[in-house]
Amino acid sequence: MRGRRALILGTVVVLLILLLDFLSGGGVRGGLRMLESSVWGMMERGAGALAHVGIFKSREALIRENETLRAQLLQMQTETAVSSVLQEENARLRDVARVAAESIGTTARIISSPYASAYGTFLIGAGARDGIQEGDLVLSGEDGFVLGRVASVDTASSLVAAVFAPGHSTQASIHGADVSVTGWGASGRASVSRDVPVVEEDVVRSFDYENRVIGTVASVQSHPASAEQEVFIALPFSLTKTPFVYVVHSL
Amino acid sequence: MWYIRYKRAIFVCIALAGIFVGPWWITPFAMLLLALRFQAWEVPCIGLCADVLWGAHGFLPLYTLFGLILTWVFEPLRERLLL
Repeated sequence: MRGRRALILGTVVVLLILLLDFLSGGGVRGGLRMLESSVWGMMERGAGALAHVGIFKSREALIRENETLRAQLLQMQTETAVSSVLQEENARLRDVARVAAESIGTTARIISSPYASAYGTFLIGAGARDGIQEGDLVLSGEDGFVLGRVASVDTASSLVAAVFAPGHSTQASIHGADVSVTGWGASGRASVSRDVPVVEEDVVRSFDYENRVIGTVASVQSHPASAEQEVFIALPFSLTKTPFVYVVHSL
Repeated sequence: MWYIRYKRAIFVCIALAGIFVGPWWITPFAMLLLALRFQAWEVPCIGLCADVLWGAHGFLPLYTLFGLILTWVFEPLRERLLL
C-alpha cells in the first residue's frame, strides 16, 4: 500500500513539474543541462588524462623504473600530451576559423554526448549571451557540414536538433534528384529512383539548410524487383571526435 | 530485503547514467526492468529527467509518457504475478 501511495505521489509530482515547465516556456531545464555539461566535461577530462598520462601502460615496466625516472617520465609524458592536445585543438580551431570566414556566427564546444538523446539532440556551450537564437544553423567546425539547428536556447548553452534526428524529414538533393531524407539517429535514409547513378561518398545537399552539405552517401542498397534504391546518408566523421561547432547567426 | 533495495538502486543509477552519457537506449531499457520488477515511483521521474534534459520546449515528452505507461500498465501484472 505504501508503494502504491509513493507511485501516485511520484506521478502527480512528475505531471506538476511537466505542467510548470510547459507554462514557464521550458524554465525548468537550465539546471539539469548545466549538470549534464559538468558530468560530460568531467568524463572527457578523465578519459583524456588516463589516455595521455599512461596509467594503463605496462605495469611491470613501471615497477622496474626507479622513483626519480618514473617521476621524470610522467612529467615529460604529461608535457608532451598537453602539447599534442593543444596542437590538435589549434588545428581544429584553425579549421573552424576557415568556416567562420564565410559566414557570421559563433564557435562553440559540444558539451554533451552527441548520442545520448533519443530525440537526436545535443548540447553546445554557447547560448543567448553569445547571440545564439532558435533556428540558427550549426555546422561542423572542420568541413562545414550541417549538423542541425538550434532548437532551444538557455543563457550559456543551447540544445541542437540534429539533421538526422529520428523521424525528422529533410528535403535534399543527390545528383540533382530531389529526395526526402528521413533521420535514423546517426544517419539518414532516402529512396531514390534507380535511374539516378548514386555511388558512395556522393555529396548530399539540403534545401532546408540553405543548400549546404548535410552528409555523404554511406551506402546504397538496390533490389532488382524494386524501381527505387535505398540510400543511406551519414556524416563522414564521428561527432564524438568533433569538439567544436560553428553556429551561423540568422540574419 | 537489503539486496532488493540494492538492485533497485543499481537500476536507477544505470538509467540515470544512460540519460547523461548514453547511448540513448540504456535509459528506456533500465526503466522497463525497474517497472517490471518493482513498484518504482522512480520510473516516471527518470523519464521526466530525460525529457527535461534532451527535449526542446514543445517536444512531446516521450520518455515521461513511456515511464507513466510502464508504471501504470505493469501495476496489475506486478500485483498478480510478481509481488
